[in-house]
Amino acid sequence: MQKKIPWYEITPEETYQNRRDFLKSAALASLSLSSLSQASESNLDYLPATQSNLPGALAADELTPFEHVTGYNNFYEFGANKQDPIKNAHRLTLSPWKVDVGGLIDRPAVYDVDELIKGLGLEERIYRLRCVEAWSMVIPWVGVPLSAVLDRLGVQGSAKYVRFETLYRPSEMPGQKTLFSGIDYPYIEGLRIDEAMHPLTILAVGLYGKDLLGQNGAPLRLVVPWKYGFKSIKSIVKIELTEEKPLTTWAKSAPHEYGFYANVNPKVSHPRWSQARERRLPGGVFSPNIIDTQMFNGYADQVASLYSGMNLRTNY
Amino acid sequence: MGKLFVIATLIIPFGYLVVNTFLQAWGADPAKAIVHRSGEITLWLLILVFLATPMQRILRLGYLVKFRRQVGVAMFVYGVIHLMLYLTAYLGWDIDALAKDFIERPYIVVGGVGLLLAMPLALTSNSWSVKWMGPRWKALHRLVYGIAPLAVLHVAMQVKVDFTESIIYGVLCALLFVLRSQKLQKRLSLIIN
Repeated sequence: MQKKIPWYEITPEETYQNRRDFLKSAALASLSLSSLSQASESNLDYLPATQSNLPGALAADELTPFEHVTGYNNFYEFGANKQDPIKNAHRLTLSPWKVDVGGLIDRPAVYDVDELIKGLGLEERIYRLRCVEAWSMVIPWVGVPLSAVLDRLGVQGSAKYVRFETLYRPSEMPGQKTLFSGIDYPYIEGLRIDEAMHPLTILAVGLYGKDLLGQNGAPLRLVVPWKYGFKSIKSIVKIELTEEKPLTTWAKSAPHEYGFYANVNPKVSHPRWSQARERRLPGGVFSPNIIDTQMFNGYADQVASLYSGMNLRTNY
Repeated sequence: MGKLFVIATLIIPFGYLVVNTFLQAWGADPAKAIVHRSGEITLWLLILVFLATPMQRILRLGYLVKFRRQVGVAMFVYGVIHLMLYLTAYLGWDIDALAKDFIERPYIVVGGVGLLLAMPLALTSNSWSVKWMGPRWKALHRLVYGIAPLAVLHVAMQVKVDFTESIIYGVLCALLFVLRSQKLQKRLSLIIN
């Protein structure tokens, strides 16, 4: 049972007002025209999506305005600063986009991205996104459950993990050319098969009812709302079902700082950021909007059972 | 006159911080933006202080050293502003969180020690102290050799993915140490002048 309510009917009025105000102040601050057009929604396709009625699928939190969701990103392939992706991601060739799907599945092939999700109804999911750097946003995604995609491909019984890979194309991704990089490219992420099949895990193709922009991981990205943001891999070109646990990018780069699971957990601190609290963006200098971080990012009712009996301090 | 001009110049970055805050021009995460920017200002002023003596000797620009004390005090003041912004925007003045940060996050300790070392230098950056302390003044102010590497370390320890900026600061800091060599200063001075 799904109700048809387009995203704009549930966006709070003040969010729209904020957006207007931002555009005004952006013009005043004489931001470059190109970054303005990057941030404007009008030139994007509208995606017909239905709202999911799955428990946890629609967070009641106030949405983070579009210009912040698309203007403040960690996507190191496009640069190390949060403002770099919006400047550089327009260079990315989004069409054609092929996804190599292989490993322990019945129908391995190189699929066109549209083919991969064709026929699966697009759903809107409003998720909290908690970055490991102790800030968070609330984003209305459009996508399909990853389980629906995997089911259609025929996951074999021996598959225990899903491994994902981001595009490696230094000619369009200047960050991949960085000389003194702390991580290796292409970016690799992974999920345990039960995490991948969980109904809250989606492959997103849009946000705010429109096509994804490059800086948000166009044309296809993972969204796993109860894990730190870096697990939600962007611009996917490879999906592989494996028996062995994939060595993920951050776990490889700094194993004592980043684990495979990376579940949001206020009780287990990262060496450089306390995870007990977070700054819900956008904030102000004197009103930083600091809130307590919730276990599993507030999705404990839906996902805690996946980890019952596991020591979450050692399996961070 | 020159002194007033220098002091006015040193206030400009503060004006920039205030104006950006007033215009809400820090973007999605103002807390992070303003804390980082105030830290950068502090680091650049530290580099400027460090640069004064060798530049005076090499380029024979006597006036650089005349204003070194003002720049040094400004560096300390911006360091304190940086600390205050971290306490306000990152921690919301939660003292428990500060204690935890101090215990669990070494880069906070490194930054804190650097700022603490700068305090006696700022307090004695006046003509009266120079006279009263005599040769001990110079000895005390050698502490700056400790502060600079701590500041660079404080930056480098926070890097997640791109070490380029830290390497630039590190090389700059090392270069400034090398430029302290009087022999080198004389030689460069002869070449340039």
